[in-house]
Amino acid sequence: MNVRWAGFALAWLVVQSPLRSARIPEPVPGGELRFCLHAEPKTFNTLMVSEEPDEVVRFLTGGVLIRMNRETQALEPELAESWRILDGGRKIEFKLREGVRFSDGSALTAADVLFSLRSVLDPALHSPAGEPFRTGQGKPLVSQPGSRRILVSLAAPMPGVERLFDEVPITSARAVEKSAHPADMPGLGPFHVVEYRPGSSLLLARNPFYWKRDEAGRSLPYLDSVRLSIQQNRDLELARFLHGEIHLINGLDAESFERVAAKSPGEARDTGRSLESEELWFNQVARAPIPEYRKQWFRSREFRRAVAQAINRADLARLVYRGHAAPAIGPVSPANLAWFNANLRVPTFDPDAALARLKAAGFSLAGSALHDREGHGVEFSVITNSGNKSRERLATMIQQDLARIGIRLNVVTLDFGSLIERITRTFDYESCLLGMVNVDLDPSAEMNVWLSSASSHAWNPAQTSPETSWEADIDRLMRAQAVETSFKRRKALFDRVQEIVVEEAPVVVLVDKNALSAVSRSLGDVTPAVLHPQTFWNIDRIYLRGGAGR
Amino acid sequence: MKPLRRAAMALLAAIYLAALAAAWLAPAGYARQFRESPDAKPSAVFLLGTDELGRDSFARLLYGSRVSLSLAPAAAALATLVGAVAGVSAGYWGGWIDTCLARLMDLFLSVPWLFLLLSVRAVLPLNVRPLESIGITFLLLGLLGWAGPARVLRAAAHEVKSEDFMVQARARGSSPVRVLSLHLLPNLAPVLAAQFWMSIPLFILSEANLGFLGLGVAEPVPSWGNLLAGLQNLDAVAGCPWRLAPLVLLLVVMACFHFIVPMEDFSK
Amino acid sequence: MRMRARLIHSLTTVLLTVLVGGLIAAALVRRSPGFGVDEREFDARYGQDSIRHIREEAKPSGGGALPDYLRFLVRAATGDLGTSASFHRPVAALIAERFPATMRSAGAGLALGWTAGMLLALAAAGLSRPAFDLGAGAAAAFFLCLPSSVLALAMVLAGRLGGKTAVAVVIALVIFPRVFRYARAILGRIAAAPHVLMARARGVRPWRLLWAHLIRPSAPAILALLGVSVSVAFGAAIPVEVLCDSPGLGQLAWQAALKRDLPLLVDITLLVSLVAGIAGMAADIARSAPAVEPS
Repeated sequence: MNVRWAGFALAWLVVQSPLRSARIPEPVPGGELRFCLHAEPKTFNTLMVSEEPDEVVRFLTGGVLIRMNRETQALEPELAESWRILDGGRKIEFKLREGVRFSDGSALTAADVLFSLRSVLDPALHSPAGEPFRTGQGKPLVSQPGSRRILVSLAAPMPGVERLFDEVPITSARAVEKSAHPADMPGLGPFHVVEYRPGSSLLLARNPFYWKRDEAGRSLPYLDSVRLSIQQNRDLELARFLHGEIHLINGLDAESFERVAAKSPGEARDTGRSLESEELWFNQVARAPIPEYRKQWFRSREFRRAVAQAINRADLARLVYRGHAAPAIGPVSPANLAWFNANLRVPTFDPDAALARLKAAGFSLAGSALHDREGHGVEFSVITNSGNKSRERLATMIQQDLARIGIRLNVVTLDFGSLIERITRTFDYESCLLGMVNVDLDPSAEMNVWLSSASSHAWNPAQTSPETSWEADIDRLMRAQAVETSFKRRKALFDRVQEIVVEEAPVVVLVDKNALSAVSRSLGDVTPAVLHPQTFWNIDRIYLRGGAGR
Repeated sequence: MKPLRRAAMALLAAIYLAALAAAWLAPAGYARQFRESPDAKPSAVFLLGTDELGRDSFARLLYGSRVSLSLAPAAAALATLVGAVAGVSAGYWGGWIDTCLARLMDLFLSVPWLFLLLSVRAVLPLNVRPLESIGITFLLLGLLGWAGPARVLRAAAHEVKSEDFMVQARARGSSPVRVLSLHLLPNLAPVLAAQFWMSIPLFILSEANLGFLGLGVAEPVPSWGNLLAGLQNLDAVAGCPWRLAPLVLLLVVMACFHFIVPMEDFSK
Repeated sequence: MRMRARLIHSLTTVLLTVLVGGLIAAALVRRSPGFGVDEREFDARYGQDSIRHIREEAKPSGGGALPDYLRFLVRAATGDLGTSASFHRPVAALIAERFPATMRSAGAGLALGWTAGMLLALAAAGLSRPAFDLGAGAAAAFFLCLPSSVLALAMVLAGRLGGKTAVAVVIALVIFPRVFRYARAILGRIAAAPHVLMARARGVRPWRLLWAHLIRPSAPAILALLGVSVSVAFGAAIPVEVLCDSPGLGQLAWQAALKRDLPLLVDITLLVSLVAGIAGMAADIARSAPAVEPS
C-alpha cells in the first residue's frame, strides 16, 4: 500500500512516454473493456472520494471543468469552455460549455456548478478535493457573475491554481442525494454506473448524452461498457490478464511485469521512471518511547548520511525491481521535469566512506559490530507494512548492506493499521520503510510533507516550532515558494529545499520505481502515462480492435 | 507395514541430521546474498539454485528445516495435549463439565484471535532476537490451537465411553484413573496421533501467516513457512521445478509421520 | 417433553456462548493496535484541520467495552446491527449482501465433500478390496494434511475457476477426507459385525445389504459429523474466500479486521459463532439419539 505524499492535480511539464500504441485511423465503436479495482469503492459521492477505487469510478463517470492531458500534461478545457486567471492569481473565472447534459438527459446548469464548487470548498464538509484550497488564509468564495460564468475568488494568490480543478468534481445536488444507489446516479463522465454488485463488480455503460465527439464528429466514448471487477488479489488479477479475461493492469510490480513480458512481450509496458519512490526515514520525535541513545543516533546528521551512503541503491533497483527502477537522487523524481533539481547527483554507494564518517562522529568498530561513543552496540529496527514482497526484499538487502558497516538491522513487518498507529500516534518505532506517491507535481502540494508543523512531516510531525535550524530553513523556503508568482524564483526556492533534504538525509530516498502496466493487444489508442490513472486516462478514446466482437 | 515404518523413521532421522549439519552441508549460509547470481539454476555451487536476492536455496531449506521441524511438532504436541485434556475430560465425565467445556471450545473457535496476536506484537519490543520471536510464535500457535483437537477428542471419548468394555470396566468399580489410563486413552491413541499429525503442516504455514502481523520468523532467518509462502507465484515455479523443494520436503516429512504414527485404525 | 427441555437448555447455552464470544471479540478489537486509527492520518493531501476531523471521526466512544457492548446488544435486539466504520454502510445490509455467497459456496462444498466422502467410504467398505481402500485412504490423508490455504492457493493459481466455485471446491476438499475417514471407520466396524457377514453369506442382494445393513444402522453416528462439518466449512471459508477473492462473509471479515471495524467484526463474530454453536448442538443431539438397531 502506498502512502500519498502529495495532492492530486497536474503540472505543466512534459514527461514523454517512450511507448505509444500505434494509432489506427478507424476506431470501431462498441465492446466492453474489463479491468480490476483493487478494493471495494467506499463511496460513490463524487465530492467525498478519497481512495483509489472511488477515484477510478469518479474518473470514468464524473466531469471536471479542466482536465489535464496525462500524455502532454497540458491543461485542456472540459466542462469549462475556457478560463482565465484574474487579479494576480487571486481569482479564476470559468466560462461554462453549452449543451452539456447529465447521463439522465437533464442539462448541466450554472447552479449545479455553483453547488459543486461550494460543497468542495466548504471546510465543514471536509471534501478531500477541496483540501489544497484550505491554506489557512481564508475560505475561497464562489459566485456567478454571468449566466454561464463562474468566479472563484481566493483569499490569497495561489500560483498554478487552475491545475487543482482537474480533481474538483462537478455534480448536482440530485446526484449527491442518489449516491447510495450508484445505478440511479446521473453523471457527466463518458460512462455511468448501471449495476453494482458489492464485493464483486461494477458495470458502467456508455453515457448516451456525453458531450464529446471525435474529429470525425462521432460521439464518444467508443466503448459500450466498462466492467470493473473487484479483485484484491493481484496474482489473480495477473492470471486473469494472462487468460485474456481483463484488458488492463495498472501499477504492475516488477515480477508480474516480467511474467507478462515473457508470455506476451508487446503487452507489458514500461513507461519509465515514475513519481513513486521507496523511502527510509528515522524516528526523530523527541517524546518517542525509544532509548535516548538511539534517538541521539537518529538525530545525528552524520549517522543518517552514513546509512544513506552504505545502502547500495543500484543493487536494490537491479534485484528487487529487476531493473525496472532507478537509484533515487533526491526527494523529487527526475520524472518531475519542471521541479526536479538537476544539480543533484545520485548519491554514491561507499561503505568505506560511510564507516569513516561514522568514526569521525564518535562511533567505533569492535570486531564486526559498530558501537557508539558510550559503547552501545548499533542495532535498530525498521518497520514496514506486511504483504508487500518488494518492500520486504528491500529491507532484507538493506539489512545486509548495513551489516557491512557493523550495524545490525532488525526487520519487522506490521499490518497497515498497526504501522500507521506507530508512525502517527505512539511513535514507537525506530525507522520506517514505506513507498511514497507524489501525484501532484507542484511543490505546494507537498506543504503537508515538508513543513515542520505538518502531520505528514514523517520523521518528526506536528512540531510547535522547528526543532532544527535546517527544518526552519525548509519551512521558510516552502512558505516563500507558495506565494511566489515567478516560476523561476519558485524553482530556486524549491531546489534549495531538495538540497537540504539530501544534505540532512532525514529521509533516505532509495529508488524511483518505473510505471509498469499491462495492456491487451486488443485495445486501441492506449498510451500509458506516469500519472494516474496510467493506462486509461483517455478512456473516451480507447477502443477494442474488432469492436463489439470481443 | 513394519519395514515401511522403519524406512520412514530412517528418512526422517536423515532429514533431521541434515538440518542439524546445515553448517557443514551448506557453508554459504542462509543469509548471504550473492547479488551477482540471483535466481540461479541448480549448480555444483548452489545445489538448489538461489532465490531472487541470490541466497543459497539449499542452505535456506536446511536451516529452515531446523526451525520448522523442531518447533512445529512441539507446538502440535502442545495443542494436542491441551486439547486432549479438555476433550477427554468433557467426553469422559459428561454432564455439566461436558457442557461447559464444549461451549468453551465453541467460544474459542469463534473468537477472532488475530487481535490478541496483534496486541502481543504491540507489547513485544521491536528488537526481538529471531530465536525469541520464533519461540513466542510457536508457543502462541500451540496455546491457541487446542480447541480443534479438543472437539474431535471429545466426540471420540463420547463414543469410546459407551463401548461395552468401558461399561464393564466401570461396572467392575475400577477407579476413574484406571479406566482412563487403561481403557480410554489407549483407545483414543490413534485419534490423538491423527490430530497431532494434522496440526503440524497447519502450524508450519500459520507461522508464515503470522509474519503478516510482525510475529513469526523474521528476515533473514528462513523457515518452511516463509519458503512455502514464496511458492505463491506458481507461474514462476512452473519452469523451475527445483523451487518446489520445500513443498516436496514437507510432503515427504508428512508421509514419514503418517507411517510412523499409527492411525490407520481411526476410531476403532 | 424431556427432549423439549433439553433443546431449550442447549439453545440457552449456545446463545450465552455466542454473547460471551461477542464480548471477548469486542474487547480484543478495542485493545488491539491500530484501533481508532484512520489510514488517511498519514495522507499528505490532508491538512491539520482535516486530520483533526478524521481523528475525531475515528475516535472510539469513551464508554468502555462492556457498556458499549450492552448498548450494542440492546440496539441489535431492535434489529439495528450498527453501521460499519470502514464501509460507512449499515452492517445488516453488508451481511445480507455477503451471506448468500458464503452460504452457497459452503453449501456446495459440503454437498460435494459429503457425496465424495460417503461414496468412497461405501465403496471401500462394500468392495473390501485392500488396494482401493489404501488408495482412497492415501488420498484422504493427503488432503487432510494440506491446510485449506494451500488448497485455495493451488485453486487460484492452477485453475480458471471463478471465486465462488474455487471456494466450494476447496471446502469440498477440506470436508471430504474427514467424512471419508470417519464414515469408513464406522462402516468398516458394522460391515465386520456377525449379522452382516451372515447376511452376506446368505446371499442378500448387494443393494439391500448396503441399505439395510450398512447405511441405515450407521446413519446416526455419521450424521453427528454433519454438525461438525458445517462449522469446519464455515471456518475454512474465511481464509479461502480471502485468497480466492470471493465476495462472501469471510472476505468481509478479513477487510473488517484490517480496518479494525468494530461493529462489523462483532456482528460477524456473533453470526459465525451462532452458526457453529447451532451446528454443534445439532451434532450432540444426533449423537445422543437412539441408534437404529440393525434388523
